[in-house]
Amino acid sequence: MSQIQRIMIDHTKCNGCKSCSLACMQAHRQDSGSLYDLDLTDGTNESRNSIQTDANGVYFPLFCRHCDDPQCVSACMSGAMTKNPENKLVQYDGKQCAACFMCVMNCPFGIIKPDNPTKTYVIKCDFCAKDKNGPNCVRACPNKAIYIEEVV
Amino acid sequence: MKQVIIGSGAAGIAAAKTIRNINKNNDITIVSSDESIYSRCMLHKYTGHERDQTSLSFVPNDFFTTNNITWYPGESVLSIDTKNNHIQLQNKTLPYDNLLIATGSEAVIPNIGQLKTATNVYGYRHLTDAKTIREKAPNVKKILIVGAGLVGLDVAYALLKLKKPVIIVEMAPQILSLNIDSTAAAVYQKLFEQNGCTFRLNSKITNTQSNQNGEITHITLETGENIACDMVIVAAGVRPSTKLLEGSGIEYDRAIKVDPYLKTSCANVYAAGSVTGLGEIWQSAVKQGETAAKNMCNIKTQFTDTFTAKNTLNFFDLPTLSVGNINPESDDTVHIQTIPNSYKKIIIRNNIVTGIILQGNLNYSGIWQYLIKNKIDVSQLKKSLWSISFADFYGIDPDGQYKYDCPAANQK
Repeated sequence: MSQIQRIMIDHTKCNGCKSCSLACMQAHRQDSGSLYDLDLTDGTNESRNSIQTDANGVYFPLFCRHCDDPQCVSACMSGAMTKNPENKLVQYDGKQCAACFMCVMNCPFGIIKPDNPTKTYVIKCDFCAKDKNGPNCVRACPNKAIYIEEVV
Repeated sequence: MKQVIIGSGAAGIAAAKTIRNINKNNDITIVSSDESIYSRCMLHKYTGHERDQTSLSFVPNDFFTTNNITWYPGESVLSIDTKNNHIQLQNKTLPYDNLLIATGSEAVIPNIGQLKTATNVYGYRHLTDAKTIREKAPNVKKILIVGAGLVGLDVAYALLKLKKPVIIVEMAPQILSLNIDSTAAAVYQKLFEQNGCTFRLNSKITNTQSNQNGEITHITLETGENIACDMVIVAAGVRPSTKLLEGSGIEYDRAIKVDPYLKTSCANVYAAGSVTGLGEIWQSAVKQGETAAKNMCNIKTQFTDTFTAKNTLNFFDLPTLSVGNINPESDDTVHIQTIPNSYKKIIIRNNIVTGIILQGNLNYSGIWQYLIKNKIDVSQLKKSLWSISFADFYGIDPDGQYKYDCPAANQK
């Protein structure tokens, strides 16, 4: 079986700084610029990850797992959501997507969501495919609460 | 090993893909009455000129070559010979070692007036239906749709985009009665009406009137009212496609009878998708196809995910999700939150969420199906129902995949 990369999570090291979410927004913004002019209120800059707390205020990083048996893929009726057989990433093709949001309903962990401004496509981790340095969230984490590992 | 699949919908394609992933050498053949691969759930996007035929496909263009699958498109199966293990096509006999029947369903046309025989009445199930309606739409003046369920509204949505006047006749007192409650339905009804759609709810069709060409010109309601129309689209439910089973010895009544391994009453014959009656939704068909395929490759696998009380809708860029039982019983607790552009309703019975409707805001809503399907007790969570997330059930495996850690969450 081939080795794949996954963003591993040690939630005990997360202090909720949300640097990962900012890095994700910056990496996926439509315009260009630095973090200092990133418009946090612009819905098209939405983060693919989120940090949520439980009832005790403990922080939990919620990131797409690119699951071995991805429910978003089996639920997808348009062919937009696919599991790449080589790198094992769950990939999303916005052009093929029909915005039925069956994937949103079927992600057991509630990670993926419709885009806020238009509700016409899905906000989903792409492992920063266009960035040769890999996922920006991982590089932004000051506490190594998220880190990349090869998994079998 | 010769693996033969009848049907190229969600179940048939998922099965072929699964067999190929398990076994590089199996001889895989798909026979389909459809001439192209398309997602039924997107047919209305073809009718509404949002997509062409190519972009209706849910697999890459090179699917059959990449996966080394032989495909007979546009071929009807005339008979299945389960004694000699072969199927009969028009000009060909195909032997099989394993056969998968994934023929899906057909639109039901009620036996009222001339609905079954008139020349301007269509179901909405196949690309041929979507094509005919798209071709004829420019020349029709008034389209009547029977049924205000998901399919009826899908096709209405497409026709409204083409600026066609549409009237929908529905027996129930609300639209989408199987999917959502009357509050959420009223919002959609208004949106449809604002875009040129007329509804006749609580209405039953009792008769039709036709012209000399055998075309329906009016339908008659129980009240005696006559409604003029020059095209009728029937979206009043489906029934499993079992016609080709006649004389095969494969047991069926309404649907094909299958065991937990999706095997039929005949040796080496399996069934998957809506033809089994186990679920009329895309994901269920895919999972049935995958399960049957594993069994066809001698990997004994039971079909277990039978939860199908779930749906999402998206009309006029207003998405809605519904899971579980959406009609509360007298002992149930119902929580409702209404804020601009968002309606949420949670139904709780004995501390367990049994149903949910979310309209407008589906953010991070995937957890609800898990909680409902697995009957998770949410009463011990020291948190508002409106703010719970996977953080409240967080668990993670050594390989980094999430899992639910419910007892821990409930003890807090």
